[in-house]
Amino acid sequence: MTPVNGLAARTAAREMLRQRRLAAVRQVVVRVTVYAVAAVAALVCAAPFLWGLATAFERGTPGARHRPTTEHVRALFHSTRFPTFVVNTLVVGGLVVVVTLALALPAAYALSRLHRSWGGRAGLAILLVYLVPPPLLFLSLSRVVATLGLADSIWSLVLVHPTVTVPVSVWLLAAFLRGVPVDIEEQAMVDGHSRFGAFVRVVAPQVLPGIAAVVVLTFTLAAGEFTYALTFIWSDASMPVSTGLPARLGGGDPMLWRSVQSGAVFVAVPLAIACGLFLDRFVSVLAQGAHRD
Amino acid sequence: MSGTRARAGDRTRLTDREGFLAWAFLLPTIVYLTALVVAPFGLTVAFAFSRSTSDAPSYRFGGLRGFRAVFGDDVFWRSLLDTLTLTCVSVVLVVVLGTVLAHVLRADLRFRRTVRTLVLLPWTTPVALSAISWRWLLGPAGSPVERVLRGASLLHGGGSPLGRTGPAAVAVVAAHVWRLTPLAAVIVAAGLNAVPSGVWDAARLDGAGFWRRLFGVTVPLTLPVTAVAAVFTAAITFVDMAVVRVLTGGGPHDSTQVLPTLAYLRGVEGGDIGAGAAASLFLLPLFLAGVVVALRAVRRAEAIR
Repeated sequence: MTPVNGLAARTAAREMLRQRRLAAVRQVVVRVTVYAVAAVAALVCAAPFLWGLATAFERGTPGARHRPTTEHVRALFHSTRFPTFVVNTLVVGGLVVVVTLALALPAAYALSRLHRSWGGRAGLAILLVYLVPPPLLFLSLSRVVATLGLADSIWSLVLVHPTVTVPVSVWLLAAFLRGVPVDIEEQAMVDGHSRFGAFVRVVAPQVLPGIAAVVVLTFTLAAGEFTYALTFIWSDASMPVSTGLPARLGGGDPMLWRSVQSGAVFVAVPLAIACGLFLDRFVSVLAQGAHRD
Repeated sequence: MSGTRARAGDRTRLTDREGFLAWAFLLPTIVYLTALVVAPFGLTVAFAFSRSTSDAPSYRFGGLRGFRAVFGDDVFWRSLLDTLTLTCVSVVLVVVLGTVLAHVLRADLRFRRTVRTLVLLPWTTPVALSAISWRWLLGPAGSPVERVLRGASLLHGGGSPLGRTGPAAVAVVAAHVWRLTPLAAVIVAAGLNAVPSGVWDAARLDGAGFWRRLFGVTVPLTLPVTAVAAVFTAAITFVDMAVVRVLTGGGPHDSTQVLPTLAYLRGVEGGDIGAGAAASLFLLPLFLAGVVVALRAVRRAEAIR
């Protein structure tokens, strides 16, 4: 090895070390940035609820230092009908989930597997229906609900909420169903199942994770719906949380405000945790959609 | 397929006939949606040309009376403009912030599950309840935002920020952006997942820098899914009534009313079903226009690809 070559090798080695150090620094900067953005995002997203939770246990004016108290949370259960609102939301949400699955699962199967010449148009029509927003319908639907004798009853919401949840669920379930190999269905039919039997006993169990995701999404949408609940229901006994709690703000009792804040947090956290469990599944279905188009 | 069916049995059962099954499976959904979406939509159009009120709800034809009432209403024009402005500003902010958040959601973080649950809070919480929390964060004397604004001398005199026209409008936009950014992030993250990771590595090996990779690779590849996120954001913001109803109540002085809350104000609280229906009909053409524009953008993006 000549001295010149040795010099070149040393320079190259030094250059490589420099490059590696630069890459390491860059990686640290990227990691720090990602963590910083994640922390800020999480904080901003949770901020209103954190503040609501912090003040729910305070005495006196917000921000002032006092011994924590549970009186506001107790007032939520004694001075408001929060428990009634929660039960109404759970009943409506549960029934809407059942109705939605009963309608959407067969429809999604028909659209994704039973190839008809009009299948594409039917799918598009269902999607278009989803685009008709509640503010265009609440005036006429309130007449429909009144005519059916369902005004001011939670049954009005059970009847109407699936108009929002069915189209979304059809679309999602069809995406899940396309992920099931056709072979297992054909095998089931070879084994003596009818096409219907193959759907119920073999295909539906395959998309159970997808069904679970749709259940959570449907419940979340039904629990969050505001326009119809506001229009159809006016007595405390039938109100869901989404209109029951805001209505308590109008009372002018500032002490009750803190109770209402804690109520919002009690509803928000379980829903976020439930949806968080299924986030990856939603992302993967959406990714399929993005990939196919 | 036909071979399979022949082997499945000699009888052709009703439950094996695809044409019958397809109809039987789709019909309930079609009947339900026709009865409770398509027909009521027709009824809304009919109501817009009626003189029906909540005291006399039976249908009486009223010609253009409802539209005349709406056009003569100053609040209608303001709420129309507000709805459009709110939607456009929200979409831009949501798409930009959502794209940033999408990268964070995909990143390999130590507290990934906690971060994701917190980030999902705005999207999964019933919007009316989020609006309650926002009102508590912004509104009353001594609330954090109120104190910051006073500290920065941006708020003078008495009253809450929500009692001022400008800050109240900003609050409505902020609440919408806060609520829909996680949804946009999830959609964009899905689009990013669908791109094979080799593409980025290839671009990096070819010597493309960060900005070059961002605008030369990431943005074009995720454009369709970004458009989807924008359409969702626009559609949800455009028709939302809960944020304005709960956060500002449309005030101060009807300055933050949007079309949906105006339709409720006139049609339900004011009892003039005709005028309320006429006002709500204005949601439709603008809404459809937005959808068409977005779909066209998606198709163009794909044609380029």
